[in-house]
Amino acid sequence: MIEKSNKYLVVALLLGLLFHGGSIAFTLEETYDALIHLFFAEHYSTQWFDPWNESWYTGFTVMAYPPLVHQSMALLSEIGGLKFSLYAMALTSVLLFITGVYRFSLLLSGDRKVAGYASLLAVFSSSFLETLHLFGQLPSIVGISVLMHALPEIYAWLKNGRKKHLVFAWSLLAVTVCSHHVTPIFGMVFFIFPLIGLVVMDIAAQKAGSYKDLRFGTFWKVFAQKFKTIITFGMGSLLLILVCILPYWVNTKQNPITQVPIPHGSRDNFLDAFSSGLVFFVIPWGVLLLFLPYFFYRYFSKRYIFFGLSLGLLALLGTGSTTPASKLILGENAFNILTLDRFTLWATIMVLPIFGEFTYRFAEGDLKQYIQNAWGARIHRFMGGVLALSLICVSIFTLNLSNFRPTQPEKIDMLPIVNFLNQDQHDRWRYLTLGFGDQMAWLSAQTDAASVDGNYHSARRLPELTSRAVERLENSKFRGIEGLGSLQQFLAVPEKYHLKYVFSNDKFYDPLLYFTGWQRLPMLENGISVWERSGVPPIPKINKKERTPSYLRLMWGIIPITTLIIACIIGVLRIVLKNPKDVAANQCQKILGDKKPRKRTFHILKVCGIWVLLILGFVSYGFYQFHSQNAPQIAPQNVVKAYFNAIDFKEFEQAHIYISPLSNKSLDQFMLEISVSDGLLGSYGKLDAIKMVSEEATETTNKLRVTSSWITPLKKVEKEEIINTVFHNGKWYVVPPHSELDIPPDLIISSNHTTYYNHGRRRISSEQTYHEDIVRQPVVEVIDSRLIVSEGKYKVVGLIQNVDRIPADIAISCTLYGVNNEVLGSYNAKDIIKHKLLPMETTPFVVDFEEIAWVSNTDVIPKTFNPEEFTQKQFDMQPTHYGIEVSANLATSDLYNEVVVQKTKMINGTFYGELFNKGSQNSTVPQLLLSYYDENKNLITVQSHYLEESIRPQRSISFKIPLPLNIDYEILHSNPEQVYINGIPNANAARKMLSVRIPPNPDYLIETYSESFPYVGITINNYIGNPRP
Amino acid sequence: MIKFYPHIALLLSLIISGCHEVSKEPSQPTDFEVEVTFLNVSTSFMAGDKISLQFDNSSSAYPEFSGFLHISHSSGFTSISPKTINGILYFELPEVLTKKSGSLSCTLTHGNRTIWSKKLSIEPNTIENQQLEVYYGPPSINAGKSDHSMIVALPTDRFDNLLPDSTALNYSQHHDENLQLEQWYTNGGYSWKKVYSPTNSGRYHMGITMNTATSKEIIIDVLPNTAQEISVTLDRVHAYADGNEIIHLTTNVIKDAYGNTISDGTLVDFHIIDNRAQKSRTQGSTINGIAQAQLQHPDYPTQWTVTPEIPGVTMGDPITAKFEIAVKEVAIFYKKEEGLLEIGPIRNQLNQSIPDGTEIEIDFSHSTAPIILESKNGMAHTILPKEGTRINEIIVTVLGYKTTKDFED
Repeated sequence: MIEKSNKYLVVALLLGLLFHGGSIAFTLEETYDALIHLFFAEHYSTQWFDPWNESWYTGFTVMAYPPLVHQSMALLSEIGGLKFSLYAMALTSVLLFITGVYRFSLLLSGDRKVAGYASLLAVFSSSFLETLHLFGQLPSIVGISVLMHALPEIYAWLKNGRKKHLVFAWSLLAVTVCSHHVTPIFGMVFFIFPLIGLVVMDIAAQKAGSYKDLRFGTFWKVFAQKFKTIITFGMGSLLLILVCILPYWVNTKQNPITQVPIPHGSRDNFLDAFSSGLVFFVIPWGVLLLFLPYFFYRYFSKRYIFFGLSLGLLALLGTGSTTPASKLILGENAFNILTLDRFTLWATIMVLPIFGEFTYRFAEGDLKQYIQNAWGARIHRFMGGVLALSLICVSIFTLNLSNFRPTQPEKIDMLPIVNFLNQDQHDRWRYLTLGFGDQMAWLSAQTDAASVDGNYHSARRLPELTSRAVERLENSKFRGIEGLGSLQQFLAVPEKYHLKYVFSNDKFYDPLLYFTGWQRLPMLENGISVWERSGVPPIPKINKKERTPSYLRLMWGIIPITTLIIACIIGVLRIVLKNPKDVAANQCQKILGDKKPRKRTFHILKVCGIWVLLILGFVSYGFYQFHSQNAPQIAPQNVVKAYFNAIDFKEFEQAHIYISPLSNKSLDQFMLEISVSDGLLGSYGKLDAIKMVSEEATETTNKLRVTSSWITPLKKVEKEEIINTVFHNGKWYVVPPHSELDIPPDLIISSNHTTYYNHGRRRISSEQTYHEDIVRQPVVEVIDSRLIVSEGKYKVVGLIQNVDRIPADIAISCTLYGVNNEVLGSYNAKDIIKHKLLPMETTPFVVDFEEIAWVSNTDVIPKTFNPEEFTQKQFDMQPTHYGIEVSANLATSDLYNEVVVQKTKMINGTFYGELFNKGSQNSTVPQLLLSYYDENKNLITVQSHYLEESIRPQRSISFKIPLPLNIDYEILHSNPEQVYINGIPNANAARKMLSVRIPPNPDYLIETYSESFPYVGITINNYIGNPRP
Repeated sequence: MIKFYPHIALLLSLIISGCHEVSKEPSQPTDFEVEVTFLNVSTSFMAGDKISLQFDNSSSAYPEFSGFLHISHSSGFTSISPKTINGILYFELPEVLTKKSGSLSCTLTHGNRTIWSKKLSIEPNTIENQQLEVYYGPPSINAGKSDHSMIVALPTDRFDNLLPDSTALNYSQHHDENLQLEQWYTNGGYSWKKVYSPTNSGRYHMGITMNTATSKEIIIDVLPNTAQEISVTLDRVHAYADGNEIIHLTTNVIKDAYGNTISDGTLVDFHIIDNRAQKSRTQGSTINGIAQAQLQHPDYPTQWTVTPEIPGVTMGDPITAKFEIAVKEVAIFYKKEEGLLEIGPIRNQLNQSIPDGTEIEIDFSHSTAPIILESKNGMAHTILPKEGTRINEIIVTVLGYKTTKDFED
């Protein structure tokens, strides 16, 4: 007899395709992972058998992730391109998931209607929606779906021992392991072990007559009987897991994951971190949360007891740090590596059959009767409506979550970047993206150029990256010092990584790029700014590549796709050769044969009701707490906090609401005053913390001393100010500060400048640059330099002058040597130097010897952010001398030299002065380099001070720098011969340009009256945030 | 059991059959019986010419010549076999070998015996389409005779063979409307010249010709040498120390020792020190030798000493400028009951209100912390805390003008 097709399943499939297919184009590309999988697919589409990928992390092996989904996408991309393959794969996963849930439910319930209901519910499962539409974890979904398909086969094999079931089960398991390695490993524990229990239980119950009469002895006897069958299956599966992705295991052994744990929201305490709780607990459980008592009740019945235990464990593991259980069960190590959201995903999938059963009973079965009898049909219908509506609402909310709270930057048009990288051999260098989010993977998929960054952190090998708990360099600002610390090391020593281009989609990083010596190129059409560093050598043609033995490469290329083909063939054969009756289903017992209402079920319904009320109460209390803590104008502290937050997020209209109406400041006036305030804090600062102390309080006024700490790319800023608040008409308001009164003298400023342009190559040719078009490197001279040790830190300080006729862009690299000329370490001058020098301009510099931070496990990683964090390099022996190599190249931009220092004075060890901007550009971030000299006017050290405010044209700002009381230092070596400018000895090059050097003006230094540093000198460097054309 | 490898068996049988074949061949003539006569007239050729070596083999007892001509050349060793037409052996040298000048050692062998050996020489093709390769550098030099650039010329034929020594080249050099012509002769295949910088900056245009071949245009920029004398003049709207107006500092046209205006963009520093030893520094980059820099007026009467400098290169004589007091009068009102302190109107020497935003420092004789206000419309006011302050004396300082007012209790 041919079974009728299940109409619920058909509807579920159609609905699933429609619902997910319709939305996928708007969600999938904004997910965290989808584009990463696309990048891997691109790899296989171009080099199927070669696992080495140059695009990320100075090269990594794709054997770090099971390949099947990626390889299938690579094959699909031959039909309609990469994006097509992504969508096709996603839709396939939807179909696999729905049918998987159907088969799993059929297995558990033995009722096709129940299974049909479950498959309908699977379409709207919020955890599935989240995994697909928010996380984009395609392999994970495919893995669990195929595993669900395998379960009935495993059941059939265990129950009646027919080999064809075993073969099909193995074949499906092989597909699972090739798709996602974690799924079958944990799937064994959480799905297959309970299934084995279920089979044994079923057989034992048959023997005993009913489940009620089943005793442990019978169960144990059956288990012993079936042990061989179970072991056969288990060993075979284990072998499959090992062999199918053997290259993966070999790679894991060879390149053990040295990555320090990267924080993941699923490990948070959900009560503390509300957003993590929402994303990793509330959303995946969704409506299911209301029926938890029912699920546990059903699963803790005798037949399902093993599934019940598994569900309990999964649900517990999914709670992150909210309960100590997950850490205890998994252990510290596994807890920090695994993302725990998958446990919740599996738990929510596991309850779907029972939810299907509940819905069936509610819609057509005993529950319907019970409710209708008890409360009437209307109430039943109303309850049904509420249930359906909430299910759909949660689905819609989940689907559109990334719109409510964008997790990714706006979609970036990659074409201009791809074109830029293809142009003029730009792909011979590495690049770095900043602020691209997960879209960086899509860029990598489209270009041959390589990035130093990457988006699959388990595969990275550079200690600069593995030692940091940072997902990507590109979003390093979200990871505080760890991120920016990593980033700074890449930016300061780019030649080590052949890093020449930075694409920035976030202006936060701009000052950091500027002060570490990068220069801005014209913005691309898509609004991405490009930064370039000159003097970086291209990637060598012969690159280090990890050799993978041929047999592993062949295995990797052949086995996974073969498992898929075999599974497909067996599946098709079964349909063609046999009645498509679901064999497994017939093996199950109908557990709902009698649809008589059972009393206990109705009790549990009441428990459910109480549970729902509890949850609603809990949620309401949460909302109330949230409101009372955040209502802005009920207390002076609240209004100040709200005002600062509004300013921080540039919500000026909102900030104006908090301004006292008594101040008569119109929104226009307020906006004007805000718009002129710019600078490190105003444009690049992010409010980190705010503390306030009430100084004077009356009924209607409150004077607060507010200490705000701001994170900027360059330093951590602590700002203390007095803010007055007033109480007016039942609300507290902030009294705005007085606006600036100073009026610049000239209305119109004219200023003349020499500007520079470099043609590069004058001929349009893709050949090597003609030798007459090669730009001459400017000659610079290291006037003075010395190696000092101060407070245990070694640093090379010096003065360098551009003695050429063209502007120079300089990069200084210092190497320290031991007594016998052993190389001890080398580093570049980072931001304590002016990188761009006009002809005859001089700058001091400092080279600090920085270690890759936190390389050793014993180092304590600071919890809070500090951009000035510095890890001193530890030397094996005392450095005795040093050498300097300067690379100077033509600079054509960032030569703004119009900020001057005036009215300097020294009062009680504090240095006062004013900076005046005489030019026509706004100096967004002024940097003051303060050089300290000894009594012989020898440079001892240099310190950098970033001013927090910008300086607008013809305006001045004052500064106040408390000088150190004393500088302890020892000079180890001065002015060595090993100073090379573009490879030419320092003096040789410079004397040609400047035959006689005269001593400097004695007036140029400022007296400090300090004993250890009687003089200081000032150099000013300016970052222009928005250059005026 | 020994496995059967069909491909190895096949290979072995082929080798064996091959050996067998050889042993079957009729016996060769002995080498001594082969005699040839070299027919070519000359052993010297021009690059690019077709070279065919001819030998008469007709007198030989064995017209079937089976020897080879071995040619040893700069890139290796080549063996060729002849074409035989009417008993004449024609050895045609491959085209590659005929294009490169130099010598070729040719040896004709037959069997193990060398029958004939000779050196052929191929001369550069001096007749048609000669070319010039010219290199120079650095592309810019400093004026003043000590710096130099260098030009190297390599005349070649169309096959890139260096032309023979003493090939004449015509060199022309144009600078500052002076045209200089020279004739060079190659030595060792090339010719070179150091071009010393002249005293005046500008641009050298150079070129080299040889028969019909010409070089690219060679450009060497002569940059000005280092700056020499520098002086500064100060330009201001008025001489009052109002802390707001802009002072313009301008240098002379800065030149090098040879009278060339220094390069644009050269940075000039101006060091300013006043009576109170407060230091300021401004800077400007030159355009046409002149650097300009600005600074705000001081906010108290003083005298400035301004020194221009290009660090390490040159320093000018200091100039001085005196600034007069800007404020003429300051009025102070204090209403004790309300604690209201009103400063102003503050008038300047021309009886106008002082500019907005001017700092007003208010000091109380007994208090340590002075209050700083900013003027608006020549006025400023503040409310002093009523408690705990007994004000006897108020000292107000505006732009260096100090006035004191006593209040009796």
